[in-house]
Amino acid sequence: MPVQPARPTLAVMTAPAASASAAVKHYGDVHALDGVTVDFERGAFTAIMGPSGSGKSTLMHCVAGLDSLTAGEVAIGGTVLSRLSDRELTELRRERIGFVFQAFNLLPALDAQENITLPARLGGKPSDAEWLDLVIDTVGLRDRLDHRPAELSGGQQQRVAVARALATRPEIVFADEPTGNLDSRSSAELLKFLRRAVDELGQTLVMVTHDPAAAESADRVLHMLDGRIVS
Amino acid sequence: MTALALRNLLARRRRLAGTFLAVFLGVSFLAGALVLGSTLARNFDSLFTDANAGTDAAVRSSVGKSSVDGTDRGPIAISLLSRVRAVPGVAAAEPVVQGYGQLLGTDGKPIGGAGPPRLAANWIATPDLNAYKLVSGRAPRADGEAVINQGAADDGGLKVGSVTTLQTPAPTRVRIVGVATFGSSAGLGEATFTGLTIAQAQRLILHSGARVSAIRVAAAPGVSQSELVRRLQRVLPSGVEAVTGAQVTAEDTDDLSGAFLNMLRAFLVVFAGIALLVATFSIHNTLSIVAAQRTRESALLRALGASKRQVFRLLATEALLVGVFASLAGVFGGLGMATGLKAMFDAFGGALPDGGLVLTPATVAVSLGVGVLVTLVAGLSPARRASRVPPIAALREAATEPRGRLRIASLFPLRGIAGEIARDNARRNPRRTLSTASALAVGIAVVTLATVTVTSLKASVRDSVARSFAGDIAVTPPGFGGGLDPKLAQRISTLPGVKTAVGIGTGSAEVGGDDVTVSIADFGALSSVTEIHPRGDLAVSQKVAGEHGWRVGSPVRVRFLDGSTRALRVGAVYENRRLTGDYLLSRAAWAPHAGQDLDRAVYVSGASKAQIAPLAGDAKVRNRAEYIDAAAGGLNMLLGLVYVMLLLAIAIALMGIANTLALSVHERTRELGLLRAVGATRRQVRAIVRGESVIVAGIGTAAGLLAGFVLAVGLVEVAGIDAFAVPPGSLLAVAIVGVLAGVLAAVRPARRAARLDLPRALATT
Repeated sequence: MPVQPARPTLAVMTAPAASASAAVKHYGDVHALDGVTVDFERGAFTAIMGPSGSGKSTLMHCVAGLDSLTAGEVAIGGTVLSRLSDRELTELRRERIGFVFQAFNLLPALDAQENITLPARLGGKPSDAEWLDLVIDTVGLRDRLDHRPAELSGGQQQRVAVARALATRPEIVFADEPTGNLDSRSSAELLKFLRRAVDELGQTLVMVTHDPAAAESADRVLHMLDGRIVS
Repeated sequence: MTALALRNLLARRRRLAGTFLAVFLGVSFLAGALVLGSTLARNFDSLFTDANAGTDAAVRSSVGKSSVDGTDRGPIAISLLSRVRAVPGVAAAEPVVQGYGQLLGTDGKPIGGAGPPRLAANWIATPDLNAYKLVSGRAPRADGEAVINQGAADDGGLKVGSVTTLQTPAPTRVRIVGVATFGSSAGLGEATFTGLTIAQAQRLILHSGARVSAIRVAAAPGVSQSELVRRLQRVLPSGVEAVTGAQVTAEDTDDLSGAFLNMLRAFLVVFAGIALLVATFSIHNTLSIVAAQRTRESALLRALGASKRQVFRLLATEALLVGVFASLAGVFGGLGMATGLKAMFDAFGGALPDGGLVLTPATVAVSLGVGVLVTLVAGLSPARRASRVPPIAALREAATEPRGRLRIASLFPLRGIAGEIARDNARRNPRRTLSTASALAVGIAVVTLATVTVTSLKASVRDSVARSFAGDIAVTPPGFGGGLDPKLAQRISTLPGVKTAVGIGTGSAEVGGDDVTVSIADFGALSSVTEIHPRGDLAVSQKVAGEHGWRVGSPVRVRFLDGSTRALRVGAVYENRRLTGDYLLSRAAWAPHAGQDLDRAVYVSGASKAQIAPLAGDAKVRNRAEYIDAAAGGLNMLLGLVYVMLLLAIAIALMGIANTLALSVHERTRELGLLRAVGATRRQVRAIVRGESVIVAGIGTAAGLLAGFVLAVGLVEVAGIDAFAVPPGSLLAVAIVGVLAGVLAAVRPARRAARLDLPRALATT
């Protein structure tokens, strides 16, 4: 099956940005996902909360094509992931998804600018310069572009990661505990940037967190427990 | 701490596998070299002990030196035989006539000749005094009948009843009447043996019925070898000596050891040294990385109250244990290596005698000792560095990596984002990149050194042959050594158009008090085909003249193998020793004292190859250009051996690179996971790992080429080789092999990097 183009077609536009239906994931005897069905709407900021081991990270990994399901289906903009080859999945992650992780988001050998443009360059495509400027200004990194990660604060590093996630104009951005390693001030600042990405750039955002303060920035909050969505 | 060290080793099996392998291979090679050396020494020794088992004493000329084929010693009078037999305590005495004899196979091609001697001798009637035992047929009874050894019969397709040619070096038709074994083996190593009647052997080899090469004596029961020798000496004239059978065996073994075994052993040990040096770099590198990766663990131990000394001891003990286990395994690996090396030497034509492998306690002790020492030395500085980690490091995040300043990595033209990341990775930890590269650099440097030196040596040989050889055609015997019929030069000189044909003979004599090899030629004719212009009866090289303080006109005492002495005057001193060696005697002076006459070359001017070929038989006929090329040809075999052995060193370096990469991949699991998450394909991840490997290999290769080249310039200078030649093709091949080693080393680590389990990789901290 051909990979969907980066700019979604009309038919795809009507589908939710991402969805899971009856998603099950077992690690041996551990049921990390126990039949999860959920839609992530376009242009919305969704937070997934829950204690450790509730399955929130597993859900994100599976929806984002980083891990595969034991049963059920996940889709990004109407593209069912289980039917894709590793190559197609890689391309999908590169062009249609953005990621922000809790830590170690950046390649230490590359400077901020190079880290931001990494996905585009991996795909061998030129970055949209205008959009890139907008993104860099949105996260306020203009004067830090030639710094390497080791020369940036934790908050700045996470902002570089957000910029990278936005740089390819993905259909959806997944953030896995993006504020987990930050102090409260940097944390608040980062959430402000994420909010702006949704409000000003029209970005779809899914964030896994166990920080209630972080969840407050979201439009919608899902709670997970023992591999299920409970509210 | 030892228990913890053992636990750690088991837990880190995979990471230490590279260290283990490096020590194992290095020790295997060392043990292999030692095992091969002692195996060959034992085999040759038992061969000669068997051969001389029934000989209690030998009566021989005291002129000349000992050699396995006995051709460097003068003859004695056969009249001594009755005198020897009359000595009380002599049970049996047999005359021996021995010299050069090339057998031809059924296809007309020479048998043997790759190095080991080709012997013609008389068949000795008394079995106790004859090292050969008939296995089929009978002893020769008349002219033209011969017994040959089993090995020669098998190689040449000869059997009892076959008729073939024996060249001594004049050709003689012989009919095989018997086949014999040497003791229980098919021959004395790969030496060929032809046994004739004594009368024919005397005629063909010594040109005299009154002389023999030696007399072998068996003692009567109750008479010891030394007692027998004492009794014999009383009846012998001056110039003739009696020695014990034990001494003959010792001399034969020494002859081979000195000329061949010691060189072989030195050669192998040098390569084992190179392998171990390369291994040391790899071990040091692996242990450094492992120690760095354990920073937090070491810091935790320090925080929990372990002293610096204890942390140091823990890591040193781990290195020691790896060294002990790997060296033990290496000793066994050495047995396999010795078997393989022996097969390799056989394939290169230097056939060695058979026999089981000999593992001496010394071999085990040296191999274990060296292996453990090398591992410990390589492991000390990483252990010391780990012990200096402050306890607080346990609580800190993993240390941020230093920003790399390895500019050289930027020079590699690797394309695309993958190439860029590969370059950055190689730049990141200059110390690691360079120490990984240095292992390969050592291997490449030695290959380069050997290639440039041997090429220079070849150029030097070619130059000097080109300068000194002024003829049109050169005829040389087939195989190594051996000889041409001295009559060949005379026959060629009668061909129409031939201006000069001169045979260069070889013999032994005592000149100015030294036992030396001399060249023999017609001085007048020699002048017209070489740029050497000797006069009188004796010419010597500048080198020898300098050593002895001789000038033209100096009197020099020459003692011939037949025992007679002449005072000759130095008629000329020449510079170029390539064609004639250090001593040149005129044919006229040599002829009255000649034993078996062999020409090692015939130089011709004024003829074509086609004219000479029909006269030359199986000898090689070459024109000037071909002869100049062939003069340096023997060095190619040496170079071939060097290459095969050095591939091993490069293989060890390659494993070092692979190991470092595997550790780097392990270390960067999180980073690779991130790359994959944001859209790097598996192919790109592989390209990144491969790119880094190629950069490391490229740096190692370039440094090795440079170092090898500089060393070669020095060596050529020091060794007094008067030409310097760089083989661009070979060096290009070395460079390609080096970079390919990088590609090869990356295969496994790259595959592992590309197959990372994403969720797990991202969860790694």
